[in-house]
Amino acid sequence: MSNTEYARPPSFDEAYETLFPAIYRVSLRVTGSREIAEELCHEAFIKLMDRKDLQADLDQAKFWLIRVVKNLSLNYEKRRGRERAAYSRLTHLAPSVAESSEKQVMREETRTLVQHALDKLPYNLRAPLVFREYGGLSYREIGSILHISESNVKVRIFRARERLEKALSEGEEYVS
Amino acid sequence: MCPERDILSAYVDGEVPSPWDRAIADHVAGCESCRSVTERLEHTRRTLRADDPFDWQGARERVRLRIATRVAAPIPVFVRPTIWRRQVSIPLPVAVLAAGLVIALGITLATSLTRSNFGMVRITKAPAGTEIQIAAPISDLESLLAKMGGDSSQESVLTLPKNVRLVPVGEPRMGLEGDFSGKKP
Repeated sequence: MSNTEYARPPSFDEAYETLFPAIYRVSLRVTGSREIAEELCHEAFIKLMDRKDLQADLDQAKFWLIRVVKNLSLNYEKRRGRERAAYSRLTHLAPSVAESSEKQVMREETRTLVQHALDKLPYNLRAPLVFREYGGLSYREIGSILHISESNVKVRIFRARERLEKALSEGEEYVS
Repeated sequence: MCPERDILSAYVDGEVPSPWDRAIADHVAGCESCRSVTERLEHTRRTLRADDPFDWQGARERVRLRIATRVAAPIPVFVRPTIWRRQVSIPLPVAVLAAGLVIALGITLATSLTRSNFGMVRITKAPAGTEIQIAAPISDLESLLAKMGGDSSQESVLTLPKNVRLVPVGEPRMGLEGDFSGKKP
């Protein structure tokens, strides 16, 4: 297949090549699912194709893509919240069924210790930390994406780290 | 006085502005407890960054392929006209009246269609001169002739619709049947 069939400016390919790792890491760490992360990346980069003005400026493009990922992941988070609520009702009603489905989930997603610890954080702490650590965004940029002040970002990231440290040390003890 | 721990977290991120960051660096160098806090924060950061998803290259290629195929053949998006999504509330009496009107119209239309002589054979009975319309299609000669021959004492005139094209096939059956039913010997 020749490239002329889906003519894309070279700057898109360049942006994709350079930014995919960061966008994928952010998506994966926020959602905790490889499948959803790929879905989010797909959506975000498709949207980027229409934004020719952003493709040349990689920093701008990254910030913009993470903003898109944040919006998409928030939708996913809400859906997962509803599923969790249904799941806990199910656990309450029929423990045996719930246990087996939980084991199934564990098999499907072999999560790392870090991902497990991140999953335990509430979204409002997890998202700023992930944007910082895996997206490399500044506090100001994170504040703009989440519509919160810079000092709020600072507090949330600190709390996320505190909880994460605790969860990770517990996890390490559990493993060893 | 030790800085707040969230300030130390921001310091680790390089998010403390210029004159203050040096002051914190000096403090941390001389304060055991603050150094321990920053070391733990650094450790958490390193753990997070060391945990790299092993197959991001695979994900990159899969997503690249999906984007390429999607751009080559964009999926048509069906846009539903908004008018069908709009909910219109009708008061119950009006709704009943409208339904009644639709049914009445339907019945009238159906009756007029049955009564129309489109494609039907008209038969005029001789004595009274009255025209009876028999609801039998022209293709169904058997039933047509049966109806004509019901009353053999009377003469019947058969009028075919103007647009009928008759094709002579086989024996002249019509004449035979007509003679048989119309004028019984």
